[in-house]
Amino acid sequence: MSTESKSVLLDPLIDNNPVTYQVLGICSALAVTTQMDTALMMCLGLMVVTALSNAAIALIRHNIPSNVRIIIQMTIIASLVIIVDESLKAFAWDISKRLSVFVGLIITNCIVLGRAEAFAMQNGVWDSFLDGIGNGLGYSVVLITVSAIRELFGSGSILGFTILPLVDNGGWYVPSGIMFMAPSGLIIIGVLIWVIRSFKVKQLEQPDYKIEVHRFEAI
Amino acid sequence: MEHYIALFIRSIFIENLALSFFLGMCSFLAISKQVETALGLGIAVIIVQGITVPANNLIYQFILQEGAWAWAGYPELDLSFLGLISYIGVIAAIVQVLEMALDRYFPALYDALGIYLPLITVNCIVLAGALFMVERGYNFPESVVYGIGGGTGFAMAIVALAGIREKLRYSDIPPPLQGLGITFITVGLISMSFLAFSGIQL
Amino acid sequence: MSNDTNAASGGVIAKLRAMPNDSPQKMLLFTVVLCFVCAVLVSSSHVLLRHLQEHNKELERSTNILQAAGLFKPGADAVKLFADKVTIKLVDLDTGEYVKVEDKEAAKFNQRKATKDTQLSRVLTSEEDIAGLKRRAHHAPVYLVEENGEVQTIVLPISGKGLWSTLYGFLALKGDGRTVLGITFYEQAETPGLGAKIATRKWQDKWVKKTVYDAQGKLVIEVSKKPATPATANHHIDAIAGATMTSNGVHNLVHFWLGKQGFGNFLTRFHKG
Repeated sequence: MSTESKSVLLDPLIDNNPVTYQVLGICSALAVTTQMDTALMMCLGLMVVTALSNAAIALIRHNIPSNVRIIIQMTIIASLVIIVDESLKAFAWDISKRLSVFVGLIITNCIVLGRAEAFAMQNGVWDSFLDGIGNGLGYSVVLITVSAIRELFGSGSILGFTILPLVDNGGWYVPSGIMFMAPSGLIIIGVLIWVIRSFKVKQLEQPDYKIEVHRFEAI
Repeated sequence: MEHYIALFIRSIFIENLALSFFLGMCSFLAISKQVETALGLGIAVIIVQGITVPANNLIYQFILQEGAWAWAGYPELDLSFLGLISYIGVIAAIVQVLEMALDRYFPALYDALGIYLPLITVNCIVLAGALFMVERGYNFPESVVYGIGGGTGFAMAIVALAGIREKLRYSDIPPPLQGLGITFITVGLISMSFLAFSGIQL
Repeated sequence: MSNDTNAASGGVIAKLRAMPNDSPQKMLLFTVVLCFVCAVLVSSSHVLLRHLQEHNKELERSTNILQAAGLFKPGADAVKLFADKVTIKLVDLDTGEYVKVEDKEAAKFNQRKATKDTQLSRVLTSEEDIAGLKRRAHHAPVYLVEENGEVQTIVLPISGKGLWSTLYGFLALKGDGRTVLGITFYEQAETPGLGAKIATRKWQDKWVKKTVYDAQGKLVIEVSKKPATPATANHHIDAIAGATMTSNGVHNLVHFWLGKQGFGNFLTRFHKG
């Protein structure tokens, strides 16, 4: 694999992560992160859709009439999402039931359309495909981290295997109910951003107003 | 009537699309730096939701639902698998038409909404409104109430967040948390306070 | 994906490519071709996978009914076991009599669809409607396990509002129509970790061997936060801590479906015998 392809694939993992840096695709992601298996399935679905839609759009990019561009991209994405949804219902019934409408919401996941518009319209089929996989992976990194934390502290297990034995089952761990609720997902992502940006100084945002240290405090 | 008021209140507070379902987060975070722009987006969402949810309800009832084609001799035909693509098509088309109509008849409002209107097509809230409406089996009047209620809930949430963020700019925040990070945590805290509504049975 | 179209309609594609991108003809043609390709893909995926999806649905229903009845063995073919053991009958809820239809027709009966159909269902008054269902179909399926011509197990479909969602499940009673064999919930969207515990084996096992009707035929089963007393122990199920609304929902829906509006009339026939 050439270095360029490699960077297309690996860049979105942390440096240019779609969720924590580009602020894309947060919408449908957080609601499925209470358990790891649903999160993994969601990542897989999103990766497939992003990669294939990127490739398909790159393939016909020279022929897309520009004023119906968005709707054509939407049609391609929507068709792929329906196919993914139908396959999930056929091969992973339990999980597709738990994901409910969130599979459908991949259509409006900004990552998919964002990458189609920003990358696939200008690049070749193979690179676009890789970019889709890479962004899918970047999204997965965040989803898997968040869901691992939430499942571990919320139900004391990882992927269904007990790590912290629950009080309910005779163990010692009292599960934290907040992990199942919406707010914990947001706060965990907030902290995740904090951690990433502590290492990646380049991602820092400049404050609008600088707080000056008062002189006598400094002394 | 009571039933519709209950549905309206529920869609704003208890089942707030942004704060209890995490929907529309991208624009929620991106366009909440100032109260004014947040209000513009909020109003646009209310309008679009109020039109597209009922429109998709009609499409579902008369075209996609199993048995919708019984009058034409196809009682078994079930097109609901085409739901996603139809809803997003309807949403994109309505947003486009709305944009042209506003431009022609209400230029002031059109200018105020600016780029937010076309952006709404890819706002998950609008599609989610349609999907939840189908999943919960709302009828036409219910879908009107749900559409407007859901939009109002989002508008309220984004204006509240923008209000907080305007004040946050003057706070001393650790540099890595500046901007996006602290916003996430703020939204988490707002959403936690919205949990208080969840026990209310209407 | 457009490779297929290339092969299928090479002429059109070649013409399309030659046109300038923004000419109206191209725009129209392009959208039509794209819609056609997408329509073929989507429809064929639906048609190809429908069989599997329906199998999944049936498997899930059979598994749940068998589980409620305590007949399910892990690894067994639930659909086959179901077909061997269980007979499906249709009951008229107002009279409590069986509806005289072919077994095949009874198996096809779709309760949820019937509930929406104004001809096949009626509106519940707010006093009757303790489970928050709004409408109730006139008929409902029951799943019977018979041995030597005697009904051993009666499995009833139950549903009602919890906190967030409508809960769907099955309640299995012994042939005497009084004792619980098991309960399952196969569809719910309650708060994960709290209300969603109704879907766990652990909570469902609490129902086993409880009495639903006392000797006078009074509906006594209760899901309650109050601790059980020796007098209530055989018909008391502890509510889930932190999920009052869901627990109340389950209490109400069990009372609805075992009451006069539900299977109450039907079950009295088992009490006598």
